[in-house]
Amino acid sequence: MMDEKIKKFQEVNVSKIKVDGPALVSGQPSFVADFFVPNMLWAKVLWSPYAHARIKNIDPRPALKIPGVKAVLTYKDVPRIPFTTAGQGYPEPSPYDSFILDNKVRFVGDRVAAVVAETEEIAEEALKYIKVDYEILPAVFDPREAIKPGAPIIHDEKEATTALPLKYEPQRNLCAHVDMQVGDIEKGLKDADFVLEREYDIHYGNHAMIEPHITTVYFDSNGRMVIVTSTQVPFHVRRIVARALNIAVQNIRVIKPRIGGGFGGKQEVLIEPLVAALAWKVRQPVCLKYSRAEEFVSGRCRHPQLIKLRTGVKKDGTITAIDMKILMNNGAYGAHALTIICNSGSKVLPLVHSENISFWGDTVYTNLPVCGAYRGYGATEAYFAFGVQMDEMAEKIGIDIVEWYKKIHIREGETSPVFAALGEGRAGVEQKITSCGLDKCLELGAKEINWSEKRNQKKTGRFRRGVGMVALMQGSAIPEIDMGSATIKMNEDGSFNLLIGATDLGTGSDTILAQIAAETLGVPTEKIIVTSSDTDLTPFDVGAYASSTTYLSGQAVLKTAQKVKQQILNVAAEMLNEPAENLTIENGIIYGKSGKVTYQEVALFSLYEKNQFQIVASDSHIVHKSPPPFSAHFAEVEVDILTGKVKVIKYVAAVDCGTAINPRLAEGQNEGAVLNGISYALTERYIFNERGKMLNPNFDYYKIFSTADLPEIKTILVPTYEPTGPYGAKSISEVGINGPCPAIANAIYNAIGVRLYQTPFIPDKVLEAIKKAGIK
Amino acid sequence: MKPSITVECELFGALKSAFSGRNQKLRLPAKTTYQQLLTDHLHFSAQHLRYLVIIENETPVKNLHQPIPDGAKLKILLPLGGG
Repeated sequence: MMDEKIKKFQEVNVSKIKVDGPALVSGQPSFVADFFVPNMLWAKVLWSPYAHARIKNIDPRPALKIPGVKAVLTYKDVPRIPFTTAGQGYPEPSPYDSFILDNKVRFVGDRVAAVVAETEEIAEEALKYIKVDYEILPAVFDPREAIKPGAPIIHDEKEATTALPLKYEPQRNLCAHVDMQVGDIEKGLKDADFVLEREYDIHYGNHAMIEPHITTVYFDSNGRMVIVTSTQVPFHVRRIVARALNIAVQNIRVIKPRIGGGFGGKQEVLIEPLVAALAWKVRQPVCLKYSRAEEFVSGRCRHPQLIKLRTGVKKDGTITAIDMKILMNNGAYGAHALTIICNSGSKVLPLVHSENISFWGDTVYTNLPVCGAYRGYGATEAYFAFGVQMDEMAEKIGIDIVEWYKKIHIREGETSPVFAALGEGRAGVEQKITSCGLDKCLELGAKEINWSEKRNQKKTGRFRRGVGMVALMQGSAIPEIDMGSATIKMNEDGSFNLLIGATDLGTGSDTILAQIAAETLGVPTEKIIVTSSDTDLTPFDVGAYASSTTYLSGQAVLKTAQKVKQQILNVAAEMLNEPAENLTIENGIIYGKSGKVTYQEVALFSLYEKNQFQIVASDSHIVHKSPPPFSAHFAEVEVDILTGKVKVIKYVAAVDCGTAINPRLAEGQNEGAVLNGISYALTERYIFNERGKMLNPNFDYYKIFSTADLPEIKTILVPTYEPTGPYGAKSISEVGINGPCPAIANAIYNAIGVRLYQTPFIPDKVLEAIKKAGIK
Repeated sequence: MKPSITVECELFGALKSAFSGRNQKLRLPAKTTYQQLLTDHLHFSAQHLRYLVIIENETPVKNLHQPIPDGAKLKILLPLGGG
């Protein structure tokens, strides 16, 4: 059935060239930095040297005397309106705890003031002349300390609040809380033959996107504010800037050009409100771009988590209880505080069957850099704990981990009580799995890595090899909340403009959406001209996050294209004097019994000849489910027992993303996510001094993998057909990053017999563990 | 004695985490509406009502101004998600 459907496709499930590819590879001006606006000024930000301090006095006058300086903004010059930088649907579930500028700083790297000048150099120089008198406050860096009575209160301002009825207690540094119980956890543990309890520690990580945050703001001839920005969420930018500056949405236009990567970091409305305030002050164009160091310290990061996980299992492999407790460090502001910790449960726990599940999570403020959305969105952290514990438990009960996953994972037609209990989806209405290729992923992945042979090989010598694996799922969009829409209009030559608010941040989503439109309209993808995203010109879309674009916006494009197709058929019916139902379309030609007409002829007829009208349609889509993509990851590593260095030899990721609309792009997404995850697992880390200052905000000492470090990565696409997705598609963008931490940890164990419960697996830590275990 | 109805309310997800004390079986005057239940008895702010979803018999309640039937078992949630 599935194969028959795929065979019918002409334009989807085909590896088309990216629609923006030629412009990018030929160096055409495409990014925010390429947009030069006449009379543009440059902004720089003064950052806090203290982790926690109140600004007793601030004097910008010496800076203003420097030639070329146009303005200096402090907290005294901006509206005191709390907002969240989390670019989420309205009303955002993240606390409103940020101001454009504040009279208090909460981490080293927090904003103190901003300068606008004729050049970046002048602006940079002027920062030195802003006189600030700080009252230094006690700071807290450990989330376990932050939640204790008597800890320094990081958000003591009266304005901090939430827009929704949620648990938010800033007076004890609690920015979010979630808990849920299914069944009876204590009974489940009592019924178990084996109980395992461990603590896991997952670290800070940076998105390290090629293009740092950058925003240019200018005013058009009508005095409207135009924000050209590198963002994943243009419509949320418009709404949040309007709130922060207390101006009407109507007076703001947001343009998203090409984006040099985001990975969640640009789901933050991070610098747009500040640049807008600066431009508003000087009434001239202003550009602010982060340096790499600023991106590390004052951008956003992956949330570190401390996870306590307890599972109970019977001898036959039945899981009788899963008890997960998470303490999450959000840094100094509460972006995504609730939803990420919810995801740590809702994207992990439904993977396997258990009648007794308990999940508990606190998210707390500390005086460290701010965390936010990052590919994986909480699932990456929780899968480390879960995947390592499953491997350890499999060994205890004496079953091969691959075979155990085959026995316990959720399947097509099944549901999990976690979907409802954690509020993702509709409580009381089952979210049944309608496509699942995990068995095939497990089978093909194991075969590709040569699992059985390598898993059981004897490990001796200085360089010891081992294999490890993990099974995974994620979601596709956010049910009942997020919406995407599209507009398609037909041109005189039979080409089409596809206008979408969906945001291609380098992922290839413009291409995928064009393919879906082309498939539906019966034309080659090359006939689709894509415009995305401009809040004045394109219809609303929540933006690129939550693995949503293909599944959510793709369905909006499909519905819109169907409407346009019907209009084309109606015009052709009039031209051929036949009922529309009798007509068929093939490659831009409409065939009837009496003859045929081309799309071009239909377009010309509708525009110039009779009953003239523009063939055009719009439609929107909201999803009611979040069908998970499934994946099985297998890592082969080599551990040097003299140095502790871990090298990935081969990595296999078999993934079920439904129909891959563009297989090459799907493979690219998966391989990018895997490499991102390997780098996070092995080398990336934030190093802080005792005052909370990051000591390594550069690529020399915060090491990310490049092509030179690339191990052999094999992606295996396992096709299934998701009935609720466009042409059977689900998501693929995030699931791949969840695997490397647990798969590599399990492979290290297989190689040297040492379990690691703390990431990253840097040589010092691995060597320490080797020595502790007495391995020679 | 005025006629009354019995209603069971169960909160889910983030609502349960914030207001677990509001999971309860209530005896209410007959003809109490869903809106009255949420504001007068479960003490939700009027400004938040538009974001709450009430499920009765696996079907979302569309009109909060209609009376609640006797014996109704309601599931109340706040759909959340953000990245």
